[in-house]
Amino acid sequence: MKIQNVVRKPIPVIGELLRNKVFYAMMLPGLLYIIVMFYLPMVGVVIAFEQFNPIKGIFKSKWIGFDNFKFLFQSDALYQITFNTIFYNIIFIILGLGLSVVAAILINEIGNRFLAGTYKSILLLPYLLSWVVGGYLLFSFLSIDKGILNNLLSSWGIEPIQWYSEPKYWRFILPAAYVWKNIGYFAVIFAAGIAGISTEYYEAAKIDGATKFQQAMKITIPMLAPIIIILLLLQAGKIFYAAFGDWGMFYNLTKESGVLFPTTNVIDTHVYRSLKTMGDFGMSSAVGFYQSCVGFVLVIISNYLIKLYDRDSALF
Amino acid sequence: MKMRLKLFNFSLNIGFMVICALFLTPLLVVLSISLSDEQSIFQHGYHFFPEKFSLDAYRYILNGNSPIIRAYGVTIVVTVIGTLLHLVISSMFAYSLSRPEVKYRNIVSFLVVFCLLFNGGLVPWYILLSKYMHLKDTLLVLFVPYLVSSVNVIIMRNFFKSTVPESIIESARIDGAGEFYSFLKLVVPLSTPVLATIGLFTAVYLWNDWFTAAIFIEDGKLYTLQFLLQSIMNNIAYLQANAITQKVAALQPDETARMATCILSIGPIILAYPFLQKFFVKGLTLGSVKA
Amino acid sequence: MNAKKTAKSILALSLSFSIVLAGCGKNNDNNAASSAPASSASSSETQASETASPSTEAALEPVDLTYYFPNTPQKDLQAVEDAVNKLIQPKINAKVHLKLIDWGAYDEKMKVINASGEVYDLAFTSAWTNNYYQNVANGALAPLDELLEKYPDMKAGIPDMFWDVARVKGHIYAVPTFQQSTAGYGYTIQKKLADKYNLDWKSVTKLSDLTPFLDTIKKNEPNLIPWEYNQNADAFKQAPPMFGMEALGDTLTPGSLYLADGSKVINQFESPEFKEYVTMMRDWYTKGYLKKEAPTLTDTNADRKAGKNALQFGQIDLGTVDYEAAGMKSTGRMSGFNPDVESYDYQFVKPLLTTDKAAATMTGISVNSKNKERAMMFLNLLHTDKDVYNTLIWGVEGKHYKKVSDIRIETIKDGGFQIWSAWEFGNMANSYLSEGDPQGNDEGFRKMWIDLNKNATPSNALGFVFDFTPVKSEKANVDAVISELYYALGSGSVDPDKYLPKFLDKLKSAGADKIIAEKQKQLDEWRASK
Repeated sequence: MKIQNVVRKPIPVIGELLRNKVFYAMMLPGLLYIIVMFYLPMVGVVIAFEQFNPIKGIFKSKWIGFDNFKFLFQSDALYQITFNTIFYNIIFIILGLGLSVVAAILINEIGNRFLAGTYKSILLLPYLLSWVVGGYLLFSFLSIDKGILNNLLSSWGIEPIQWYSEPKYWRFILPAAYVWKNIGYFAVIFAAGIAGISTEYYEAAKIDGATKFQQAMKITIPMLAPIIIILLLLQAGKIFYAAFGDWGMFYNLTKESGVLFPTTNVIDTHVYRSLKTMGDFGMSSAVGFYQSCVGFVLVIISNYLIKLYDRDSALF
Repeated sequence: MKMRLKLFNFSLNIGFMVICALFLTPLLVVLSISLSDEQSIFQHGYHFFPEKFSLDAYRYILNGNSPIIRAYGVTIVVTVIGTLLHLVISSMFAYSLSRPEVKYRNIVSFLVVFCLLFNGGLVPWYILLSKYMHLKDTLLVLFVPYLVSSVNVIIMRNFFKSTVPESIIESARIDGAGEFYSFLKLVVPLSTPVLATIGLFTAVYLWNDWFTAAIFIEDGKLYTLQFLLQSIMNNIAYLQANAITQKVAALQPDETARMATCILSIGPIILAYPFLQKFFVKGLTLGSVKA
Repeated sequence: MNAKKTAKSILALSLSFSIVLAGCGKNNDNNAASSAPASSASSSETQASETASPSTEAALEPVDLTYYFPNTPQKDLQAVEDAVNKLIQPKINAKVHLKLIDWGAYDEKMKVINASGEVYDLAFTSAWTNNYYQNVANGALAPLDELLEKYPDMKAGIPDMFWDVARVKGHIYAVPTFQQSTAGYGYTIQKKLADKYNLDWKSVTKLSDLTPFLDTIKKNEPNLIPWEYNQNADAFKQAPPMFGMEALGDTLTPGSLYLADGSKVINQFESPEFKEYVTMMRDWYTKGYLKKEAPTLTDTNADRKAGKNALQFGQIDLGTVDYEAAGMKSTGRMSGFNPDVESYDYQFVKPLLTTDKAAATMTGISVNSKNKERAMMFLNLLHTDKDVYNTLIWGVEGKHYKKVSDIRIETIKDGGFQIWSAWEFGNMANSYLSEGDPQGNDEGFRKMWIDLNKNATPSNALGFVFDFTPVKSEKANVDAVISELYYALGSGSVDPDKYLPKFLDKLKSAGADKIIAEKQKQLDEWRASK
């Protein structure tokens, strides 16, 4: 803090760079990397406004303005897919982050280190599988004639359910699948966060006679708040991407059953279906650009709001 | 009080065991299908335990035309080198962004977040890597594109911010330690949990990535495990779909093989996980002792 | 992660891929031996003259050629490449580098290779992967007209109809592979069932004639599925000729022609034929002839393996009747998945040669190639030199295959090279027969498929390719509507009285009429320019 008061250098940029040269040197490889690997290819966004012709290339293809965006906004399904995308993403954020915080705290309470580690690993296992395999698995449970669930139902004398033609069940199936696959990922992050909390806090709380529950509410969760907020913000940037970009979930789990669309159609699956026969780079870039813009606006706004509340938790 | 605590711990364990069982059942189905006789699945559907045991799927994959051992080797090399480099570059990057005395940290953080939101798409990316960096058909291309991830940098930055006590850095400064020395000797050991976590995610990503190989790799010697398994599955699908080859391919496993590839690809991670964990936990305690 | 997204679409592509191949499937039943157009004697003459002419002009500089094509990765590809090079080097002083790309990755890969302007020489191109017409429109392929004139034998080996399909605005940009390309349609029925219930399987002239058969199966064989249905075994989608129509490109994009008319573009979903089809399917579905989950199935391999399908739709180029007439033992099977389930294959719609089929397998030369002439020489060898051709297809003798007779081989299973893709290269009439081909009357069998090609009825719009760029927004939205409702209707799982009008309404508001008008306009222009 002291150092920052000494503002007397004629060229502030160079002064700052010199003053913290070690930090900027540490920053340099990463910064150079993102400039080269992420920013240089970003010129590609112009494809969204072009009738992209691979041979003419990115800079010489015909400029067609917003034509590539038209199909999405003219579509009758626009409301349905926008609603479903946001609906599921909000559910996913709440369930995903909420349940994994709980899981991480509870795992931390388990005395036996070996068991705790085992639980963590098992929760993480589904994260290693792809949604393609996930789709097969779900089918092994929900298949009409061979499925494990319907076998169970009929052995209890209940009429089997045609899962793949009943939209109403999918509002529950999809969130359950999301939690199954991703809870381990978040739980591991939070567990790392908890491991970093100094034990002194808990010892002090124990002396004051705080219960486990109180400790969790007053120490653990507040200490985790910054990382929870960061994860929320990062997810917000992907709000228009189904399942935050991992949309294979919607594609593989639902087996593309048209009857289910009212509850399963999201922006990415719709776009995939619209463009799969044409394979138009321009139109798919246009959708990506639109999704990113919405996320960008959302991130800027929420980052601003968070800055007002807690300077340190903001993204930038 | 003690009694209650014991009871709490007991019921907690029971609860987690139930949840873990629920999480494991689908995997058990994968394992069961991979070990089943294909015909028995078509006749009787899926079960938790193979109706009729068979190793055909594994035999088919392991004895195929494909050098699977080599692919394991390539994947392990790529995963290890990629993860280590990722951790080195990203942690230095993230640490410098976490230091309050670095004035431009927010501008750079914005740059990091921005490229999480926008990207130029596949074509420019391919041109950059193949035409300008000449990485096509090299081992490098399998991990170089994944050395920094915006999400990981931001997560690490926040961990450094919240878990590294300012007092330690200050006292190191008073002792005359350089900033890089404090980072290496104080911050890194203190941050093993987050480094281990990010390392794990990166390793999983690199291990599971087949797309990069599909786009950039033409030399069969550089096939990664996932890409190879993907090819084997395509191979089966193709042989079975083509009338000339159908007779040859008819008895080759399909669904069971798909599940077997899944087991073969996640198996090593599952086996390695307990060891990694032990290592990380050790690092963790070591770190706190030093601090 | 854009990469991830693309990965997903590749994956989906590789899944949908088996479909395309399944489409090719039945055509490739006909793998034939020694060539029809060029007997072995004349082909060696060709070689001689070919090698002679360039060498008299000037000694050839050694060059390297890069050849991209899709297939299953092979352990021993290098050995095959070396063997091919040993054969071609003395003839054209070139070395070819075989770039075998995984089936599922090929399309995406060629897109980025072309987009980045990478230098290569030859590539497999077709109507279904690494799209030929898009490549031509984008200028990725070199015009070959002048080069082709130098190789009359290669040109003569392929019927003119195929060259017409490769011709875009007067120029040819790729050399078609000569393989069995026509498509006739009908159905297959389990032999054992047809015999057991004494079904008159040869009496069928249209799909609805099958209803009584299905009824018999349903009543007597509770364990079987009377009619196979999946998204890629939908008769209306797979076989417009069965309904008196032909598609202009993709069969589900609105805008087809009646075979009898051939000039007016109509909306096939508004036709009485479609209404009749979905009504019949509804009847079949409600009577339980189809699986309940039919509309969501993309394949029915499991049922095929278990031999559960009693009757199914089929692309039948040569049916049981044809084989019997030729004095051969028919080798009909319900599917290759289960060799024990024998079938009768019956064709009731004659073969038709359409643009998609004729352009299913071609090889192009990149516009960026530095050695276009040499690339063409290599292509010429592939088409006319049996040794070069068969080495590329079957590998090295003794290592990858054993010779059984002059024209018949047996592949070696663990040899490290087994691509089974004679149809992908050169002139398939030069290929050895293998264990996959019917035994017996080899000559007759070979002649049968060659004749099919030569005598095929050309489609009214053979060579016409619809360019959807002017209506791409409409096309995108129509595609989304089709994937939402088409299979529900086509499988009969929903009531057509309610859903057919809904489907048509949605298509209209998505812009189907605009697509049809555009197709009509392009078709008229194409016809006028012909």
